[in-house]
Amino acid sequence: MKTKMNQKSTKVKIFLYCALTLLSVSLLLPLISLILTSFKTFDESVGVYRWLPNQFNFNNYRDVFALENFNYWSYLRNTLLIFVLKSVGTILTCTLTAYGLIRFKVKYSKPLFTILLTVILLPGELLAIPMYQVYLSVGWFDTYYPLFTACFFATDVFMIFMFRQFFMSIPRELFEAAETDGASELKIYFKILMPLSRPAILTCLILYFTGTYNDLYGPLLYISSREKWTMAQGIKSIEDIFNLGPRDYIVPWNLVSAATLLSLIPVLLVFGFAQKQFMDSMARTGIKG
Amino acid sequence: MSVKNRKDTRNFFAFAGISIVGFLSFYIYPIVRTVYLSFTDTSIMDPIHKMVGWKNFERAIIYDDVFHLALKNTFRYAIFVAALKLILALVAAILLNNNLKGIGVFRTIFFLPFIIPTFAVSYVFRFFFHPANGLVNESLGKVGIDGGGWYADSRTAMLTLVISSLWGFGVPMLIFLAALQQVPKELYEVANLDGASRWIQFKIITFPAISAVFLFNVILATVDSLKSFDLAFLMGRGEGYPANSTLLYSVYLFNQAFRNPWSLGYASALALIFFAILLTLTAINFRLGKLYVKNEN
Repeated sequence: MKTKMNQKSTKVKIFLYCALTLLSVSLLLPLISLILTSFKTFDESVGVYRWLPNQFNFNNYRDVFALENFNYWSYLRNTLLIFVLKSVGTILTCTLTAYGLIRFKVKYSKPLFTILLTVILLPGELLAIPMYQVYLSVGWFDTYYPLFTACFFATDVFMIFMFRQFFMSIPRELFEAAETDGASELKIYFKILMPLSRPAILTCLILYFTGTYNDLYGPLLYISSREKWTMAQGIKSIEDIFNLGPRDYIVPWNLVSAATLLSLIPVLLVFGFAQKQFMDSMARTGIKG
Repeated sequence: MSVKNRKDTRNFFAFAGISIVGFLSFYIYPIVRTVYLSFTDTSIMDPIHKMVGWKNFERAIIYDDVFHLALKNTFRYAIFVAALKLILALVAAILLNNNLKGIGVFRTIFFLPFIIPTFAVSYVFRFFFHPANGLVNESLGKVGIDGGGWYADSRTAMLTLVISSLWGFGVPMLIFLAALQQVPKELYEVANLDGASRWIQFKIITFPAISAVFLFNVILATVDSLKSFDLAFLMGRGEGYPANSTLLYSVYLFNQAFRNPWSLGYASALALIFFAILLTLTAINFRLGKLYVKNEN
């Protein structure tokens, strides 16, 4: 009787598998269609739709790297550079702040944290316009400074929140014991806190990687010269390379799909290596960018 | 003791002080400045600006037809995307909340679209819905239906944008799934013995148990869909193509502020109105939540 209740009937199982498969297939269809197209020739890709290419070849992938106005490695390098600068700034300053908030028994601690939290509700649009004026006036247009400077001032309140939560799970006795041994606060921060915080730092890195990789708004505002473009800008503009005149030009979908798929590789690699951490991080914040 | 106190205070500011500097310069200053700008006719083109009182707000609320269209588009978009995304996420989470072989593979597949960067999503769906050589129209053609122009036709462009946006329901799904896994299994066993149907079980056991998480997801989905920028910008060629049919609030604001004529003053007013709308809707969501959230505490 008991086993009967715990085990689902075969009918229910079949129904569940059918539903799961149906949903999976419909989600993957657009992507599969693009993948198959990346192996087609130009004529096949802009002609009547056929599922499979006449023959699978990797010419499109080779040709993407040979395009004159599209530089995959440069876009990747620029994006990674911005990612590194942003995460260094945020990890450094947000952990310092979070440590300050939990470590010292000061009457300012709670109010400061509460005040910081209020800004989570603010939409970026409200802040972007004055900052745009400021960055333009100090001559930072077409540089990466506007994209990462704020990160060095502990402005990512969500990260402060996350690090604070994490630090509170570390037993206080650890800090106090080190203090009695005569360790300075800076030493405790570097030698005890930081090594223990690896999981939280990894979460931050994953979120910042996808966030930076996705970000179109920032680069659109500040980065204009082609050699400074990020991946988002490069992929966004790849169809323009072929737009030489009339508005209804033909997009060479074979090349565009190959380039688009190449741009997915870095994200898929990170996802592949840290899948569980990745999903946990995303689910905790509910954000993509 | 007071020496210790003074030392603590000094250390506190040494560590957390940077956030105060950041808060003042990257939050307080821009907000105050945005409020100020919204009462001026500031433009990048013209360094001299003057106070214009409530003119910017008047222009937005009363005269600017394109803005009204963008507002209408945004509400339409947000209602459909938020509602459909939540339903999809909940259904997917319920399906995944079964102890079946290979369920992890399905979870990864359901989550996968979410990690694909938006700039790639726009190409995936523009090819999928391509009027002349996309899979959708080709398949519809096989069964004798003329597929139409999808994103190239102002009547269907919004529909195409909504469908494309639904692809990434991975996060609300994971949040639902985590909540579903907390529901005690014994409750269902009792309900089974009583012969309650699956729908009744959902109504009396599942939904009350996940109602707080449901509210969280509703708020998140509402704010996210109202703030949507990337996909609409990419699929609408940065201008709500075709014929402003996919022009969303944030895209319009972007174009007012950061494209010719760089009307920072007017755009600031738009940003403030936007903030007021977001706050109002979040408050309404909390009110509505009171009707269905079962709080155990």
